[in-house]
Amino acid sequence: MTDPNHATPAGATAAPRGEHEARYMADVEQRLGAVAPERRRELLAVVVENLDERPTATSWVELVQALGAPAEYAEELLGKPARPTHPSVPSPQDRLRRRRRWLAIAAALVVVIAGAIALLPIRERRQPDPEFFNSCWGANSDDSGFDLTSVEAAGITEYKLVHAEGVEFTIPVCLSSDREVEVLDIRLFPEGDELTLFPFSQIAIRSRRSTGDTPPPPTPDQPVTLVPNTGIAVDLLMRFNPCLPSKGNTRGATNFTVSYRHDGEDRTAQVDLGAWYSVADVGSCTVGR
Amino acid sequence: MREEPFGGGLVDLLVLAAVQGRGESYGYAIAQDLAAAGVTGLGEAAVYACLRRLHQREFLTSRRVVADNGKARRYYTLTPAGRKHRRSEQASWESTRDAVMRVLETGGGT
Repeated sequence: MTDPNHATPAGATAAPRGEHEARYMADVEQRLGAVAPERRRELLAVVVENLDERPTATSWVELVQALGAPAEYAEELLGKPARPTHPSVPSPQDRLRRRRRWLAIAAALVVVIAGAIALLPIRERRQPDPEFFNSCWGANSDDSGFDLTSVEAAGITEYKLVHAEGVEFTIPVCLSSDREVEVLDIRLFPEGDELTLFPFSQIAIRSRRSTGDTPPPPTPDQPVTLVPNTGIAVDLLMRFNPCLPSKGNTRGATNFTVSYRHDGEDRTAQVDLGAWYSVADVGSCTVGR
Repeated sequence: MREEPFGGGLVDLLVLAAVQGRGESYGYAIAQDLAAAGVTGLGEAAVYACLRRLHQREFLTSRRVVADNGKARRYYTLTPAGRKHRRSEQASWESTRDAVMRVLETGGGT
């Protein structure tokens, strides 16, 4: 039920102050896409209130470190079963049931803790997965055949790239992490993904700057160590593919895959690009048919 | 990944107690107070969602205050029903805590 007392001045989805807050709000909104519209409006009003009341973040990383990743925040918003909207006084039976439920939870906790303690000598506790953040986006090219438009929707930027076969362009990535990890590879699209054909492909990773102290881009042979509070800045070099009849798609990309080594294991993580990259007017893609 | 060690009743209790502790408070301050008290694993999203829910259940009243810098805050206060709900949740929690302590101290045997 919509609560008029909580309507924001410009409506439930009024954008919060600050560019990072606006982007965070858009990301959370995206994660709530499957929620019924009325419920989503209510939850977004909660997000706006939260983002407006807290101090404005000076960086995306600061905001994510304070609130968790947008996906986690959305999960936290949805984290509880629906409750009745009117107050009710619990009956003695309800209280008894509640106490029994508490006891059952407590007993289960004791069993889990005891089990975990028992297992500790057998296997050291697995380190939690690191969280990755990206703080830059856009698209650049020296090729005169490269063209793009950008549109803003719900606080998120969509880059519509004009397809031109063979033209190369770069997408910047500024990667940071809350834990020290060795980054092995960064790929916009998963390698060998035969089910999805994209109108452009990644052909290399390049350092953002060619200055002496710029670390080389990561490769499986030469990992780059990522330490908290610092990051690596690289360009993902892309090239438009030939147009294929009835193939390719317009969905584009909203995240990239980081391959990394942590706690002695090779793992991968999906990281939000911070923008949406798609191809404009795919119907005009006729070269190579 | 954020851990979620709290049941809904315990979140209600913590938020109601934090509001009552200040007489009147707003979401971000409540989240800060809980964190300062050592409550971890309870994010701001959970606090704000809980405030909204408690308000809808009429356990809290609210008023919106706009500061000179244009920033708005929603201040919450417990209603009589909210105070009653807090007592009920606190009783449940204390009962649970006592039961857990008995199990921890005696191994659950009688």
